[in-house]
Amino acid sequence: MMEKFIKDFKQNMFAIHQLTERDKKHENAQTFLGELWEIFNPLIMTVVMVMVFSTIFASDSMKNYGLFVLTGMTLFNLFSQGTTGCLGAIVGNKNLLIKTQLKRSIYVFQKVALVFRNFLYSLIIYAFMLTIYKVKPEKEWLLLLIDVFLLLLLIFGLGKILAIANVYFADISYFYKVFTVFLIYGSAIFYQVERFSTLLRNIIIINPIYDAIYIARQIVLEGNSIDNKYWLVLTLYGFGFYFIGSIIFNRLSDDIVAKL
Amino acid sequence: MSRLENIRQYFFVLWELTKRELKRKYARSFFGILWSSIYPLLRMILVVLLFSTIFDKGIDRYPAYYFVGFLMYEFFVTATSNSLTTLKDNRDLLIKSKLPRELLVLSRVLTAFVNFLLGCIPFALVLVIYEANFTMYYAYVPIVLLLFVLFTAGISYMLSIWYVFRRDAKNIWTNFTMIMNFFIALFYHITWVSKGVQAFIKNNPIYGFIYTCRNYLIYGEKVEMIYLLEIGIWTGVIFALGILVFRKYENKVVVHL
Repeated sequence: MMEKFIKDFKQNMFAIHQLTERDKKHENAQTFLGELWEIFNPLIMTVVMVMVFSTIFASDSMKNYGLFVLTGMTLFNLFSQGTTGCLGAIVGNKNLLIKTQLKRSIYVFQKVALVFRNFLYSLIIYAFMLTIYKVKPEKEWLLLLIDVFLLLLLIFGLGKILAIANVYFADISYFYKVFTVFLIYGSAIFYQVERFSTLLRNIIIINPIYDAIYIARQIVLEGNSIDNKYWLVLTLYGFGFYFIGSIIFNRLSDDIVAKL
Repeated sequence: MSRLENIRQYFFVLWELTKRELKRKYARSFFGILWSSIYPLLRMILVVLLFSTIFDKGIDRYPAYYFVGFLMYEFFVTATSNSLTTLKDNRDLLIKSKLPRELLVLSRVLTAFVNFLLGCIPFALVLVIYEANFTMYYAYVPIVLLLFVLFTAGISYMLSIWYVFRRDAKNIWTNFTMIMNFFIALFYHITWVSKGVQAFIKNNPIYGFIYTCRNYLIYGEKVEMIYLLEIGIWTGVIFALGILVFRKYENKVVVHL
């Protein structure tokens, strides 16, 4: 039993490794510059947004506008790159899917793992910025692990749904493009929600990306305690999407070969 | 063959290529060509809903303000990023036929322009609803748009050559256009940013085009001479440069394809 488990695990890891190597070689002619971009993306976007928006937004009672944006951008980037990668997980692996017996969810998992790796690199930049702004780590920061974990669950679950949906409905990639652009504006990345009316401020809480960003900002920048409702919503989304995504994926992924 | 006949043939081929591109573009999509009209409208509604609450200062007829900029920038991005891969995508056609190669690039720019025109249908509606000032200036808009198409074509020529030599050109360009998105005063007003950024935006030709069209279409105001000069000169230089670069390298690239 245990041996079989280990053997499966090793095989899966090998497959993930191979898929990642291939992604590096083929996808968008991925180059050194391209990979570097993915890692530096949050920082570059932050610089852009600070340049453009600091006169409009930074005057609000905000201490570190740069860190404020960077925290948002880093998490948002994880989400958008992760889910967008998953979108092509099945369609892009057509040949492999038909020819091999590999467990189908591996294809989705591999995309998430790849983006997570880039995210870890981005954290080095983030840590560097923290030292510049002289922010010292506290033990409460361990909560960030939970925050990121819940976000990853959400990405994986949603990614599974997107990967399947893309097979049946090619338009989904258009819709998702619109959706992510809107999300960049709707996750309060470069502005404070204090600008909103009370009604809108309550509505934005149903956006899990905003919740994840809010929690991280509270922990790192403000050192405040976090209202439980943010954790609750994020947890519900994370586990909810993970389970629903897995169910849909398991149901439909067998019939998919005929559809491809 | 007469010169006129030549030109006629040139445009015939251009239009056939464009039709091919249009068909290909919508082949896999369920909504097909309708999407070109729905997408800009959808974007506009979403952005307006959000930003009208975030930016407390307000912009006169904001939905129309955003819509012009969005349509024009979307045209620019679609045209250039599709043109980027033209030479590679049409490898067979390039090697086998004696077609003027510029036509391939131009057809992609035109495809994006057709897309742009479809997006203008809901935009016209927005102009009516928000009571844009309908003035004589509307007559100038086609000229500005023609310049904008030429400017875009010039950039597209250069990009198509660049992509043959640099495979990550696509990535670089995608990211470049994404950043540029914030420096054309698309969803905010130019006076809201710091002086340095303002100067940068004002010297950005894409902002020049958008600003001119906004004034003519929505506010019915005349545009400062400096902007008209700016877009005129930029168009001339970029288009000429594009043609020059393309002619110089079009034969050399065949080996690299």
